[in-house]
Amino acid sequence: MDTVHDFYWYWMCNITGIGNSKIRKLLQIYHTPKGVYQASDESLGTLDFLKAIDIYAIQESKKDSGLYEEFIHLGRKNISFVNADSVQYPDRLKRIYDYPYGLFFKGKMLENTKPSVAIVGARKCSLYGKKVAYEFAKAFAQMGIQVVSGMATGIDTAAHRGCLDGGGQTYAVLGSGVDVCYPAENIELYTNIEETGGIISEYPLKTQPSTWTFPLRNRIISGLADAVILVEAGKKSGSLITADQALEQNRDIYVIPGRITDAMSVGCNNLIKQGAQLILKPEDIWENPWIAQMKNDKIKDEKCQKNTQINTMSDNKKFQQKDTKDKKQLASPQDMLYSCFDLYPKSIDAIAKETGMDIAELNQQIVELMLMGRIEEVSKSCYVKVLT
Amino acid sequence: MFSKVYSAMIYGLEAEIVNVEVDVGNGIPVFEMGGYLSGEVKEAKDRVRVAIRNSGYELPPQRIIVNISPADKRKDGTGFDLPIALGILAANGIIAQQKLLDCIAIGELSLDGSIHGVNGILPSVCEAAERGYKRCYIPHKNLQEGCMVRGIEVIGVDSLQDIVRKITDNTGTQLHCQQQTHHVEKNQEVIDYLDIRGQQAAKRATLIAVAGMHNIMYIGSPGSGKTMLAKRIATIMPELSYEEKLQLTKIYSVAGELDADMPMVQKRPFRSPHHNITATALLGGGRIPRPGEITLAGKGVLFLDELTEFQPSILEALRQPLEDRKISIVRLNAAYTYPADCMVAGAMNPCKCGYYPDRKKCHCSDREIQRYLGRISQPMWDRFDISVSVERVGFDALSEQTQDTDATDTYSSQSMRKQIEQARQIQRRRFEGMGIYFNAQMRAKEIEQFCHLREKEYEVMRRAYDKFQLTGRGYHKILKTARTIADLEQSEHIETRHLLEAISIRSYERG
Repeated sequence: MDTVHDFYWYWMCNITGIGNSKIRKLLQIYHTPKGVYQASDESLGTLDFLKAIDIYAIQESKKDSGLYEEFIHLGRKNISFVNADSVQYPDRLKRIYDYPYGLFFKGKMLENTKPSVAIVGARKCSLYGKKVAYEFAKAFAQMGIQVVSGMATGIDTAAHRGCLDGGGQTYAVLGSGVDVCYPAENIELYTNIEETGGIISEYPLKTQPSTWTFPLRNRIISGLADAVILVEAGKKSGSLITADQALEQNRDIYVIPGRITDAMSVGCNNLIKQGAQLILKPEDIWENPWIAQMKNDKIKDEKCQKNTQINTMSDNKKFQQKDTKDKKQLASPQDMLYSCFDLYPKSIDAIAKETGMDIAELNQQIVELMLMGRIEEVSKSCYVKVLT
Repeated sequence: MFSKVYSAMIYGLEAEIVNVEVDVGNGIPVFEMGGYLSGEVKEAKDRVRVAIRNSGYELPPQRIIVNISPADKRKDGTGFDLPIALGILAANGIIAQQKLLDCIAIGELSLDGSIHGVNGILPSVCEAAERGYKRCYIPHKNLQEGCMVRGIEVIGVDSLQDIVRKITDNTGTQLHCQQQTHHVEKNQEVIDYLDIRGQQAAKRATLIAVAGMHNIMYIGSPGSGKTMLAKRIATIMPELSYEEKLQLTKIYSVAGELDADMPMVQKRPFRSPHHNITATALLGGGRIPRPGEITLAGKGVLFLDELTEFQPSILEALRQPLEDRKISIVRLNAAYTYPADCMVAGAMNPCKCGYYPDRKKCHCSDREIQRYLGRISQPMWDRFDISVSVERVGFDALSEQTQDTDATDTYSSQSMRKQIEQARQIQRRRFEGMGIYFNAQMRAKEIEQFCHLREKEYEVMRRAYDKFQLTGRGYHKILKTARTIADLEQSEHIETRHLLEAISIRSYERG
């Protein structure tokens, strides 16, 4: 009986041309998916929000026997489907206005009891932006916070990677079907996320991404999170849509500030001007009432609490005092050289000019620093400081 | 009457002496030619006949048979006009046959009897001298080129009448090219590394590359000075020796690139073919095989600007000759081998738009950047031991006064050349009798022998190998470069600092 009930939901979420808003209206009239399924064509015909083509799609989908097959064998592909009535459906998402009626997911579904944070940002971002996203996500993973993002190139990818490397659970909300890896080059990330966290989408299987699916999935990203962190966003970045939706959904937005001249941070800085909160280190997230509450709820065991506090304390210190600590380990000429590097790529000629060092010697010192893992070569003869 | 005149044909870069045999006799007046001749040689018939008449020699109607032997080798070019004409004149008794026995003649005839210059004079004269001929009659226009050869009398002629007179009287002026070459220098623009401000890193890498004849890749944004740097490579190479000049002039002679302004190659060549070049033009070939850019750049620099824009197949074809330092062109009836002994300098942008990693200007996605770099295959990258980024120079450096700074002085062409000469001397001693001349040419065996690392350096290399995910080939390239850096300092062993610098200027490797 349960399977049949679920299938009615599955059927309803798989009709071409019937999106979330039409489903909402249909459910207002027929109350359950089963009611919609059993509604006669005449009854459907009287509804003014349904066009003839929609009614035709509903009729056709009832005849499609392949759909049931697909539904039964979802498990083989490690894909699950939850409907809005199910207990597995994430609580947070249920609280937003236009929550999706069905969610497909691969791997696990977001846990209601653990805090979750969305990290979003532009596809075209700086190395600095990627590093920040990576480090924040990694720190969150170690604090036991789930990280939600959109698996796009740039900031999203960096956030997922950071969380995975920190040993946490990360969730990717796609603008395509859960079995479609977009962008294709992220296939490795896609499989890694699936192992510990989950791939989530409201779109039926095999749906290809298109321009209108991305803004819609953004509401799910912010909906799944307790707080949204915006890392780098240009003037017209899609991440700003996520930020708008987060506001509508009553989620707190935290923004990583950028240089005022930096084209890739214009969107972020504008939000700050409008009153969004700044976040300067991962621990700042505890200021968020939702997340703080979750932390208190969860950590009733005193021993456990102590441990995490120490952890966060040390994390905190690590983040702030990294530079000074690093310098102490280095010999003095290297110390001077290291201080010339930045989080933005700098060329060897620029460094040579700053330090006045001989090129031959500079080359040697730079390789030493690279071998020590202090700096990294991003392009030929261009180097950045390593954050970790 | 039968007569015989000697001439020469070009075969690859070498010349071969041919016999031009003429027989005139009674019968129906025809002019027949044989001996595996190409179209332009057969056309000589009309040119010769008219030129003889217009030079004032009366020929009775007679049957003329010409054969050029060896008859099994294809003859190309217009240089046979003159020997054919001489043969006919000799057969008619206008020139004494015995005067033609110890000389060769090459030249193209004009209808009025004047003689035009031809390509490939130098190898021909060389061959004649080697075979013991005493005199060489060549077009006046090619005289300076021919005069480079010692041990043979080279006589320039400008018309059929002129040559007949010189043969009969046994006269002719012998010029020595050394007297002639002074005016050549003036026309060439003087370039120097002092002209380039800043770019210390790129200059240092160039110095190392030239010292060991390593191929070098310049990576930099548009207008950053990659071409300027490459153009000056030839200025810091040691002077050409006389043998090298002769060898190069032969190549240029065959290719037809010599003229009155440049009768002899004096400077190291700098060839920079445009990226729309065909494989034939780059590597050599064609119906009548002609040396390509890679051969013309011999002992000098082949500069491939915008390397990523070259057709991939052409770049791949370049790999093998770069390794072997020669290129073989095979035709149905012959195989020609040209030398390909040059240093290659490549230049490319770091990405499609050219500004990566400056993200303010560069809007390429990571994938686009990877794809752009991927246009050059890994085996091609392996041919480059050194790569260096060329940065756009700031205004301060541009407006800097050259005299003020000591730093620029170390990178003047003159001082760089001095360092390079020293380093090359060390290499010459090291590789004596081994068939290689420079560090870049070392093979695995020599690397093991000459690039021995001591314990401390070995440890550094081991760490670097893991850190930078090097391959075996990348490891060898670093060792070769480190050897050159050590040679520049005249250090016997490879020290840690040499190794570290070699690592920092290593070329790109796909991880």
